[in-house]
Amino acid sequence: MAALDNLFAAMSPLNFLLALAGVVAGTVIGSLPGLTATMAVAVLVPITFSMEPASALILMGAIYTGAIYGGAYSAILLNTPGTPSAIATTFDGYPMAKRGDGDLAVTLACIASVSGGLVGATFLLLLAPPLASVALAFGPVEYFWLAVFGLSLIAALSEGNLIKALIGGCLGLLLSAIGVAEVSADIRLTFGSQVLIGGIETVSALIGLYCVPVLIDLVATPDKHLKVTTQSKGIRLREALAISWRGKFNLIRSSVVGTLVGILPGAGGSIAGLVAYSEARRTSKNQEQFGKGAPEGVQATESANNATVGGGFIPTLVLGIPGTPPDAVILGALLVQGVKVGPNLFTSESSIVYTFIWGLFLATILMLPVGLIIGRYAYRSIIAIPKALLVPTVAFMTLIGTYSIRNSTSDVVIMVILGVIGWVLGRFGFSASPIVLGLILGSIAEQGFVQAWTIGSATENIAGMFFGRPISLAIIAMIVISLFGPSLVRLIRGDRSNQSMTGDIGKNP
Amino acid sequence: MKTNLTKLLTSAAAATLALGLGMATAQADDFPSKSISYIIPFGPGGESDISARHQQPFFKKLFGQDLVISYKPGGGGAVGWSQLNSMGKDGYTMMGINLPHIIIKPRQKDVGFKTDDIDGFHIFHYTPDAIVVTEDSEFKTLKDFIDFAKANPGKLTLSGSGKGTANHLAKVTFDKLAGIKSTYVAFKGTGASVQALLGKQVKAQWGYTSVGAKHAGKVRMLAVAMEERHPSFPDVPTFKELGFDIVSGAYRGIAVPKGTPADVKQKLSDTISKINADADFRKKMEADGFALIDVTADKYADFIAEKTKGYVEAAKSAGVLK
Amino acid sequence: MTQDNPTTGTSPGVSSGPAPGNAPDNRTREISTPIMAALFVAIGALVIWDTTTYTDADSYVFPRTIASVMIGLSVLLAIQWLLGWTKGDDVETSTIAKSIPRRIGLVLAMIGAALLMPLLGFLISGILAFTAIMFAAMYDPWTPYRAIVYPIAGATIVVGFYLLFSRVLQVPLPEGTLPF
Repeated sequence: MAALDNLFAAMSPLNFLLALAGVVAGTVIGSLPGLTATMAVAVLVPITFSMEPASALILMGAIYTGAIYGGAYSAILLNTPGTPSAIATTFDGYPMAKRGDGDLAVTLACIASVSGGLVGATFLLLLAPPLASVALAFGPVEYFWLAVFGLSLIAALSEGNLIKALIGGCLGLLLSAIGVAEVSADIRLTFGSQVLIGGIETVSALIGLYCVPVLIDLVATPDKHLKVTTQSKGIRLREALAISWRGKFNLIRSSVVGTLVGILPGAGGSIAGLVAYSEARRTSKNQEQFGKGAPEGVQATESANNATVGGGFIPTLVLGIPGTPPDAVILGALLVQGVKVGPNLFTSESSIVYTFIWGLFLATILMLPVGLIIGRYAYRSIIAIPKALLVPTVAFMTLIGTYSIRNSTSDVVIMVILGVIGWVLGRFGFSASPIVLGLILGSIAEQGFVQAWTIGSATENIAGMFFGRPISLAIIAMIVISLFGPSLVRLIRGDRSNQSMTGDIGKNP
Repeated sequence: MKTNLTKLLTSAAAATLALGLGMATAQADDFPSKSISYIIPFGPGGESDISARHQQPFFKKLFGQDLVISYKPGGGGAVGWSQLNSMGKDGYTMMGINLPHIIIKPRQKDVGFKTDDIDGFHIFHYTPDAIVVTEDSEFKTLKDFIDFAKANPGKLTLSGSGKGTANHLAKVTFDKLAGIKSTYVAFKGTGASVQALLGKQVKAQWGYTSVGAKHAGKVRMLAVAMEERHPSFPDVPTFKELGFDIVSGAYRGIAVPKGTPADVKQKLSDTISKINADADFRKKMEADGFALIDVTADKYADFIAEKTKGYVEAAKSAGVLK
Repeated sequence: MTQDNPTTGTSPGVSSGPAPGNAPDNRTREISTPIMAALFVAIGALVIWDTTTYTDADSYVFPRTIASVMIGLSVLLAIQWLLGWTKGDDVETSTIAKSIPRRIGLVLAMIGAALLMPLLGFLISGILAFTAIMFAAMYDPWTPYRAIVYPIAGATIVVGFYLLFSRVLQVPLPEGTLPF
């Protein structure tokens, strides 16, 4: 098999070093809030011009995969997704850290990321050309329903007042519409302000809504940021491996979900993480632990988002349509190098692609030791550093990180203001996550809806457009199950005492 | 944390030394004495980014200095362009400009800049508009396409990148010239629009010649909006040949902050011309579907004025402008 | 999560209620819920008003629909409140009242840094913000050791990140208009 020859090519000392350096740099960059995988890869592009295409790909793939994993650190330890992919990691990672299991969460995230990365790379290696057709089977209406599925998580996870959570979701959806509309030609909801023309940048909004409230509460008391359990030592690898083994089906399912979502251009790691999280929660035996520090939640998100790396390369390399934003940058670098992407890449120029895929495996495996070492270090620094230094350091990181996303000081101001709004709303029972879900899913939902509606009207079959396509129906079924599944089961069992989907759940017993 | 920082500091210090901190003055004689910052008002990975990446190595070769690309995305470019004139006027900062964006956006609402505020000086290429269909499409020629549209008014769906864009305005202009009614479905960027075409969500695409180049073998172009046929596609007719007077596309160029010395601008412009003239560069760009042009500083104003007329008219009939 | 942890308010998950075990605060809920509901109705109305200025039908369908849904939900929320169903949604206010100056100091320092960036440059405004926030977060007494180590550590962190971003990652950080 020709692929095996390329295995050795991938293992050349240079490629090994590139993979290692890429993973280390990626992990560090990804852990800084505001520095996304896209940016990490974009910085590298000029350097790769002087490299062989396969080596360039390995370096960019390694930094990409490292950055997606690195996002977990700040999600777990600071409640701030370092990259959008890690949004759902905050749901359980931060509660774990707060109760003293931050080291365990970081190690679990590392194992999950490696597993997800390996599954994604395996699909890329074995099934890339046939799987690329998945990207094409997804039309606007499927994207719309996928976004709705992501939004259904608001209801599924809401523990307090469902109506407040839904209002938060609406607010997030509206925030996503601010600025120059991405598809239609209007400038919306800026109210004459030029600062808002660029819209609310998603990553800076994440930093504001998740991190700033934590900082505001941190300065208010002399208490330690994270609880430290006295018995905690090392990285709790044995414990994490045991949990991972118990959660192997979760890991595999989430990795497959991540790969499939990764194949869909424009969906990306954040949606992959949310879908996998939702599925993990739905199938879990201890659902009520989700959102309060369930290890399965961290495992699901982190395996899914790293699986999008391999998945995202499938449409990128087979169709020339980038699966994720970092893929777009990598595709650009390949074009400049004169590499023609397409199915032929998997045959005529197979050495480039297969060397790269093996390189991606290598990088993913290297992520295990690298991630554990850096993770241990990150955790120790966060718990050891005195509050008077931790708070300004994190605050400064949010400033420089937010600025760097679009080189914009307005984004920094918006970030802080959103943080204050998020903090205030949190006081009144409106939590940040519904707003964030609305914000990141808004444009996908809107574009999918408008496009599907336009095509449906042109073909005079709007109902068929929305409800007559097999993939759409499958997603709709998933939405219904995730929203009403538990209640249905209880109804069938005749147990009506604990229905959670009604509006009166905010009522205190 | 501390060791971490030490590492960062060491590498940062090394990088500082490597880059060098030239404190040169902005005089044309010793210009350029340090790297040039090239700001793309869109995100990384887009067509503007990719074309800048194509220029990057040639710029270094012909100009002797690095071209450092950074991004200032937001508002369909408006965020970057509205801040352009407050940047350094020494010639070491330049920004990509795109047509029709800089013409349409400021006419919609106050976006912080006017078309005339932009000191553009060199439009170096465009990606010509083209009607693209999948390889197995029932439309073999532009005539098939028009016949279908006439027989099924409104039912011919075309994907395209955004609204108020080159694709959208070309669609409006062509529909008027051909006397047809088609349905334009706007997607976010050319990638998503191609995805819809390849997935047969739409019947055809208002795309660019670059789509024909990148997805060769899977798509065909029915006609391209150029003066003459594209060198990479000698078999694809122009709209002009077929009797429709459309020459359009997404034009890209460079602007500097207003107040940048004219001789510095001239040097930059000459370099861009030289890059465009480089045989290697030409070959690469044309293979990727770009059409190289040189609208230099002296011709810039006339060019914009002429394009403005057509764009504004099309945008008005498209309902993008009031 | 227990009562002795005052930061429970920023629940990281989608949970929007108080942590289990928290006693409901019956004093503040009566005012906040209808005010919030009214606020969201107002935001929804503002959005719908803005959508009337759009030229493209594709642009207003989505925001108008969402704004309408949000108004409807806010009305439902008000009804819930009238029926007395919203008890216990609020987080205890006594923890909020604590250290208000420190919280405000932090927020002002961050916004101030952003606004001063174009004027002073990133480095100077970053150092100023870092210093201010350090004081806001300082609870331990200033021993000589801390007075020496903290500023040095702070300066290293700020300058280190500054160099990392501006030199290695080539982010064009604001230089500032003042000559330094």
